[in-house]
Amino acid sequence: MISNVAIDLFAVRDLNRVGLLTSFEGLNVRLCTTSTAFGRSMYPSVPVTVMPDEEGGIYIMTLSTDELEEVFEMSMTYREISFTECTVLYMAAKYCQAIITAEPRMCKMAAALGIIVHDYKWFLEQIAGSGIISMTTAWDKLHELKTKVDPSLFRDSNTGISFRLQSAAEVRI
Amino acid sequence: MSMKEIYGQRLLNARKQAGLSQDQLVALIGGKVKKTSIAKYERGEMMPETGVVETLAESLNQSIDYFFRPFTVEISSVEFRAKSSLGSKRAENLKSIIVSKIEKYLELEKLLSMNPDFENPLDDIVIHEAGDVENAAARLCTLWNTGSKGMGNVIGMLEDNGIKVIEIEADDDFDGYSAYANGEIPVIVLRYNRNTTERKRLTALHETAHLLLGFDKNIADAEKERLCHRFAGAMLMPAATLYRELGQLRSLITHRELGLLKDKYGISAKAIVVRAYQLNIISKYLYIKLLSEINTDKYEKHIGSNNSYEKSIRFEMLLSRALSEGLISHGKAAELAGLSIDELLNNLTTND
Repeated sequence: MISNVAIDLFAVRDLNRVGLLTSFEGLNVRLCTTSTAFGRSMYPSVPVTVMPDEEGGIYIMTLSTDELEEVFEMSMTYREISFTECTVLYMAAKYCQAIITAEPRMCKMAAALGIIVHDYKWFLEQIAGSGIISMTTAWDKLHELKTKVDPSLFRDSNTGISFRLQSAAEVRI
Repeated sequence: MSMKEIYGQRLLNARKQAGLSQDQLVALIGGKVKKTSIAKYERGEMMPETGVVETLAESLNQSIDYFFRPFTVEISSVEFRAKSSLGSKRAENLKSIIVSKIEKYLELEKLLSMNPDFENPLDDIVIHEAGDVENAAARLCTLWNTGSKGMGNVIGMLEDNGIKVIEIEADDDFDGYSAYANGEIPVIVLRYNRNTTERKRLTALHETAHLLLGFDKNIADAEKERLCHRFAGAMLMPAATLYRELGQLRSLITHRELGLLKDKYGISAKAIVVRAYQLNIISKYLYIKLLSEINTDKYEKHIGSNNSYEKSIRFEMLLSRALSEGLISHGKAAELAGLSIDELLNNLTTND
């Protein structure tokens, strides 16, 4: 069964920069974000779909006006994140089983809303575990992410380098 | 205000900022909705579908977040001390841009749990004539510890003392503006483009005078402007300092001297000459002669090294602090800074 996993725009940006956004298609996961967050995105190379039943790209969900109203109410409380980030959090809470984000504030708020939070390591483990990429490539990609994106995004997750990726790195050494 | 009302007012402001009529906006979005719908959105009677919200934001070059930000700031009526060519329509546009910047500034301070309380240190002074201005400037220099050697960084000093300084891009007909946001938070707005550092410093202090000085009710507006200018000059170059540098009486001052003083004190050659005349160091004849020589280039590139630099940095500092302490998300930081996500992250990595 395919599960919906929300992805915030930073994660789209970061995973796209290291060439991993096409790798999830072999997983039983459908990545979702909102049109509000993605609408002005500058990532034309990212494969997307706007049809709920269609496969082959990140599903860009358009919230209804009523839902936008609920996001607005939510944004009045969550001033620490942007309105567009609120749309993703809202969608994650309502339609998805989890969210992929490395943004510390988003992680905290998602957790407070009871949303399962996955970081980039989880994503790498999934695609490496499914054999889409090798463990050593996953390790390399993790390092690439650390050097190509804002290091502060890794502040909370640096300590828990996954055992499997760590093992892969040790084998390589 | 409800979401519809906030959205409507924001849409109206954004359309005006873009200088578009409702018809032009409809054309810009390819007729996606009718003019009557735009009118209803702007009146807060109807909310567009999400797709239209996104199209309008993109067409008006505003972030989605802008349209859903509650109104938290009111500023007193906009009385731009600028050249007369700034019409009421453009004044309103500028006001809208300024209010938006102040809203973000105050929101950031709130997120950092900072108190914007401000107490006017010159509250008890009433200005009747030029001598009062000189005394007020001297008192402020003492209270703010600027010393008698001139001010190193004017904008930084204002920000350190509770005055918010915002820089915007504007045409030549806008120099500066000051007001109390929500009746209590002093704000100065400066033009950052096509402006010399010396002029920016002088304008900042001129606006400071408008914020801090209480004038005798019989003083006309034009005279107030002159007194505010004098205050700015006196802050940048206190009387004792100018006497020390130039002497009590001069029959000639060279461009070389003006250039050295301009570089040392960050005050324009023109303002030095005006100040020297106000303090009776030079005659009216020499004052007119020097001004005509200086005015051959309004940017004064022919006088001094023109290497000085001054910029408002407090907002950026607060933004970096909030981000590095994890108090706001990167998306929020981008929204407050008015940048795209990529621009924000590029800035962060560039500065590292």
